[in-house]
Amino acid sequence: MDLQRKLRVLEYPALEGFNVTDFSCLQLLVNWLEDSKIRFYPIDQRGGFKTEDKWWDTLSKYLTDLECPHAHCISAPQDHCPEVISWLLSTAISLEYNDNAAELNARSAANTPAASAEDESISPGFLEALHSFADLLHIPHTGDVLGLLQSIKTEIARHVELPPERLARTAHLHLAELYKSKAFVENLLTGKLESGIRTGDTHLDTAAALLRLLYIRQLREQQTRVNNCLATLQDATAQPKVDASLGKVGY
Amino acid sequence: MLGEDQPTHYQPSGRTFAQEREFITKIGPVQYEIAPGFVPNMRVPATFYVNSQLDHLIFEELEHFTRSGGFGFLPAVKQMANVASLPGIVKRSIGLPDCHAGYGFSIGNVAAFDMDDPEAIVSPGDINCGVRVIRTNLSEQDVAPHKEELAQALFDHIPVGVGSQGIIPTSMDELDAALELGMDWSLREGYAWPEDKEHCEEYGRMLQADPRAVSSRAKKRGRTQMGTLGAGNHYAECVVCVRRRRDGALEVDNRLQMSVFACRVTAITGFSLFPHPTSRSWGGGVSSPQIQVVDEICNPAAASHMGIEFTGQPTMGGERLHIPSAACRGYVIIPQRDCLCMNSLRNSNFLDPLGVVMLHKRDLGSRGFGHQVATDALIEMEKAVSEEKTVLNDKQLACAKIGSPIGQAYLKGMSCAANYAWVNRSTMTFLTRQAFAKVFTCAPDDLDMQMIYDTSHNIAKVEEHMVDGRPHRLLVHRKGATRAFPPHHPLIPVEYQCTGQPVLIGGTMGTNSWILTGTEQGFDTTFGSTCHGAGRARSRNNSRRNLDHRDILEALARQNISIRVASPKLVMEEAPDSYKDVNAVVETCHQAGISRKCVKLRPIAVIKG
Repeated sequence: MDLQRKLRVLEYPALEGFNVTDFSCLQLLVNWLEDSKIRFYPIDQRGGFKTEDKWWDTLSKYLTDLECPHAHCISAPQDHCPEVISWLLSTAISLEYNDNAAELNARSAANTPAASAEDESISPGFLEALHSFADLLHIPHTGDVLGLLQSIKTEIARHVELPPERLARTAHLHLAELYKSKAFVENLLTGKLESGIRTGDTHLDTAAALLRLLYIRQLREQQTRVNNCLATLQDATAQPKVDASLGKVGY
Repeated sequence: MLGEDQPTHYQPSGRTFAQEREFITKIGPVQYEIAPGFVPNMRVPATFYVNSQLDHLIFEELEHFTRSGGFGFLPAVKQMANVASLPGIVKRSIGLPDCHAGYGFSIGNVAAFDMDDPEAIVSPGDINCGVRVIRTNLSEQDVAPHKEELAQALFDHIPVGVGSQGIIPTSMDELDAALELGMDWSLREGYAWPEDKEHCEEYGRMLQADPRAVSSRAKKRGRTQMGTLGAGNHYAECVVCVRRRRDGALEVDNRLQMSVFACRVTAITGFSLFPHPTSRSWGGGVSSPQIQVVDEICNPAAASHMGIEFTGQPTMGGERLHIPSAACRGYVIIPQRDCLCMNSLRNSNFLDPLGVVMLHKRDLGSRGFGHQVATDALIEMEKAVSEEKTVLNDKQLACAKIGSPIGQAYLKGMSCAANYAWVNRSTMTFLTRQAFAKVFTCAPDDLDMQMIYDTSHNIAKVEEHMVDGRPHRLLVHRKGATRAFPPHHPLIPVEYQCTGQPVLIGGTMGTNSWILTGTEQGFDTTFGSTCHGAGRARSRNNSRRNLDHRDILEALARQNISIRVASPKLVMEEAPDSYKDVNAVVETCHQAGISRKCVKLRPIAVIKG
């Protein structure tokens, strides 16, 4: 997904059908990147990329010359194709941006007013929440709310590969295991214990109940840490004493 | 309770009972509203909750008052209406089903004052009486052979009765630290476990406490009384639930598990340290620890939360939260070993033998110390009221503006008294754990004597509530009422996030006690409050005149309840007949939706001061 986006940004002509595990696709892409975007070697030194035999060695040397920070990729690039390609694409994008910074910035500036006009109907509270959510998912955000929502949707879809019903069931089992108490999870999900949220939509209610469970578990762990900390301090301070001779019952 | 034995002179309305009754409308199956005009200057309406079993007590009291031409005790309904006339009150003045006449405020009265209103007031009263529940892993079967021994051990360990003095040596400096730190002091000194703090309202410490706001006279009274039960309606009791046998092999059946949850030993002891700030000497009555059995489980899911999940197999954690607390060391009088009790548990026919000790301490809150704090404040406030020429319907409703120096000083002193009450309850918990350890020759930790919860009954606290659809900071006065926060409220412990806050309702000698849970509806309508006990049906004087203590003790013995009494002649003041039917009170709260029934308990042993 990540690669596709970068390829689109670079307007890679063979985007359709690109497969990172396919050697010919890789060869084509790397050659294209060096020829038209990165242009690190002079044209007469790019021969190594044209031969299939020593292609991986050439790539390895190429990465070293480019000062690629991922040492493990450099020594055996064939085992780390996605990372290598992703890094190469990022490098290409960065170079491309440097070449056309002025033009691109001007274009971006022109777009900004339109975006903020669109935002006027959105409450600042929502935006703030959206941005912190995006931060959680490591999605950079600009003024484009719609785009950001789409990125978030895409990112979540990446993680969630199961249909909602199966997901709920899996999560349910997982949590029951986590809490060591099937009854507790059952009670919460069937409404015997209150999740505090009733929307009328079963899936949404289940999701809310599951979030509650996760939150409560996190809270429990934190409280346990606090209790342990207090108990440790008690080792140093506690000295309970009783003097029965002081006791007096009644008048 | 506070001043109930003192007649008051009140400007009569000149209305007949029928005319007075017209101001009171039934607005729900168990709810009545008192319209403005019932007493002068009402700013908001008053409302109270009673069912058909209890309403006659309220109306008879009013009828008696109107017949006497406005002399004698002010009835609870008039007191609720008077509270509705206090400056800064919001929404309504609320009377709970156990409501009865008190001093200024009625007992069982909830009122909230807007912190952002400069005119809003704070009114002194009892401080932090409360109840706490401790569970054990003992079954009723385990306790039965040791019942007398246990009652005696509790009686020996917890000094009870009027003028009793505690066995925890405390210097004045230490007292100051305790007043400031509350349960943190108990924790530091090793009288409490870290989990105790977790399961206490306010985490057992009010941060605005300032010992300098407390008179030296109050401190002198407080120093020697730490860890004593006191007298009056202060008592400790143990409750045990009846266990059902498991048929055949282990079955994973929720219902079966729930019924087993009902089979735990519970012990309830109620302590409240602050008698009433009146001229009546504190602790005129009797205190009684009781041992009870759980009679009925009304909400199995929530009940399971208060028992099993929090002891051996916490719902949240997976592994048992065994904390090698230094505090435990002090408790182990007898070396840990596999005692008879543990063996019997292991061989038991029962599924998951788990017990609960419930310490219910009613007037054992802040004891002489708290009484003095409140009395000191009352004198100051009466002076302020006359200086500021504040118009009050009832001079017993002495109060001060929250923001005034007197109001602020009271809140600081009150916080100290509240902290003292928590220290006192923690100390008694320590002594109870010690008593159990002695009888069962087992460390309290091995008896799993974890605290389920500690609720306060008389306290004013700053809380956030919705008023007219917006959040407001309110000073919520609960006089003889219990906080009952709903599920998912941030101020309740993590275990109770899904059940709502446990509400511990101590009955009287020989009657049921209850554990309820808070609800969302209660949060909306009563500022998250519910009843606190049975509530008096007749005054102490009346009880003394009409009841014989021997009959009461015999009646308890007939119910197979072990009894230890320090002052037998004071028993009749706290006799079940002196109180309303706690089951009716609880039923009303349940019906009104302001709290939910969870567990019903039945006593098997009582210890009174």
